[in-house]
Amino acid sequence: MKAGLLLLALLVLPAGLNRFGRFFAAEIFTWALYAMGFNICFGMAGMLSFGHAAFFASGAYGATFAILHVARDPWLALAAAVVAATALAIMVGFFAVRVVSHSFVIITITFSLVLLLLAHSQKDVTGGDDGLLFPPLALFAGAGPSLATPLVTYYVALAVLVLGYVLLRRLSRSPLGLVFQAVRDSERRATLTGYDVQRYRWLAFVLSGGVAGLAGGVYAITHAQVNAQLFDITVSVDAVIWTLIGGAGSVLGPAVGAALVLAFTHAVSHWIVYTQIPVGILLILIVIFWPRGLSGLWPSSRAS
Amino acid sequence: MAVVPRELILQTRGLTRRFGGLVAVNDVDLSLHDGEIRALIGPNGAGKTTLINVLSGLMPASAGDIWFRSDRATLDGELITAWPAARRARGGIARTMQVTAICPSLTVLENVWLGAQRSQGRPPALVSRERMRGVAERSRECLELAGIAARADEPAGSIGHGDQRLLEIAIALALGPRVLLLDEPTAGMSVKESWEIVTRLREIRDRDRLTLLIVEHDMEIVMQLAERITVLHLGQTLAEGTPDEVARNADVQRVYLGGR
Repeated sequence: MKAGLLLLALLVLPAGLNRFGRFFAAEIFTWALYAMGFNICFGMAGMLSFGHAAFFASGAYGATFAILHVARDPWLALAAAVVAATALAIMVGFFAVRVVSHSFVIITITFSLVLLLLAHSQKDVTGGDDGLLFPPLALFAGAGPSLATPLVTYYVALAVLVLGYVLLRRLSRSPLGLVFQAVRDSERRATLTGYDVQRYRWLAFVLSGGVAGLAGGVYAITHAQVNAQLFDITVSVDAVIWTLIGGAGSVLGPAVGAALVLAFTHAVSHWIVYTQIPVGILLILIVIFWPRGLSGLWPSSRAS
Repeated sequence: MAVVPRELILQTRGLTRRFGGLVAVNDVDLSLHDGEIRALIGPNGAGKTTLINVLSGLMPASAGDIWFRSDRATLDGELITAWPAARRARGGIARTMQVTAICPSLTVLENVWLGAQRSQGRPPALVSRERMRGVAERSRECLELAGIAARADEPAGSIGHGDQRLLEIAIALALGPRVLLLDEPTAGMSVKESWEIVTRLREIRDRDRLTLLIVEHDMEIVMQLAERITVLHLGQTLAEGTPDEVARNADVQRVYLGGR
């Protein structure tokens, strides 16, 4: 119901937005999806990853390589994004889920930094900071309106976000989602209830990376360019900040956090150069006074 | 495959667990009869909890073997010494912890639900939980058995200590075990609550023909509840028999009952 009304509002919103507003909303949708994907790992399964930029970026590059070398089809590119990020998450997760808490944080940062260095050093593959560019795509493999049109960008990003939301909500209400939460709550209890904890941690990590990669794919097809900066740790940190502000306990929380921080940052960027400062203060206040995040203030929101 | 006598459900041979130089469990041969209530007693540091930890798979054995007959129809026991804890829980050996282990942010029902869905032998899928009626029914049933059905929808972390202990028993029952290992189920409970647990445990055993292995300090409860008693001392089996036999045993009186 709540989500249905929100969707309705988002469907008619472009009527009230100018060209920039539509692009900016699409940008928010993309990062909101990324944050929701991150939260499978963090909120549901209780693993604090500081390396999710790697999955977003590998998704973006996967999509771009598919466009440059296979076909100029945005939907194929999105599939390639999910495959690339999932494959990476399977590999990283294999090592990362063997450790918990601080060690897990460090191992995800390490992997992410290695990939960032690789992305910068292999300039002929990734384009480095200049990145890779391609002419804007048409909506259906060479036919239909251009993805450089603000309205098309808006609805494509919204469609993928809604798809991601439906999947995540389903996950949160499924037996699998419940197992992830059990693993987060008490490793010992989950084990004694017959669940192989490491296996479910791995699965949560891979699903999380896959969704983050899908968001990266949306970034690539709507921007028509990617660059090595996407691997930067700030992208990983953003997911953590947005989720803490929006609330890790619900599916939509991280999306709310992403939307809020991005809109806020944009609004104050005319007056403040270092927008991280007010965002940081907001983060501190929320962590102290509303540890469940903004979505935790909503009375009906149940822990996902 | 070892030939385990038909009436036995769980058997250890030479089971040993060392921590560095300390031998916490030393060459223990334990035989649990199918359907019995066995108490495991002994002074502090006798190795009771360590033995339960090794039986449930939370700790690997340093030496020795464990056989388990997961199916009444089969003649032979299975060697489960190398099974990880989660597999033993799925396979029919459930346990509760001395220090309660539950998922505090999930509801009481959800905690039990996870066990019930495991007992159906399917890995968790992406279906809607509401559709899995059988699992929900089984969970409710186990909550009834444990006597905490009224708390079903409360977060498990918010219910009282005694109810959390009962919740652990409910989760263990939901797994549909054949052997239930209970590490001090009455720890931290009032006298009244303790006797309630005793009654419930006996009911549960009679209903499902479970085998119970219970670590317990309260001798009154042990004498009432247990059909046989195993006494551990310094990691070794000191005596084993009916409550009367054990109470009369001179060694037991010396190290344990008769004080120091």
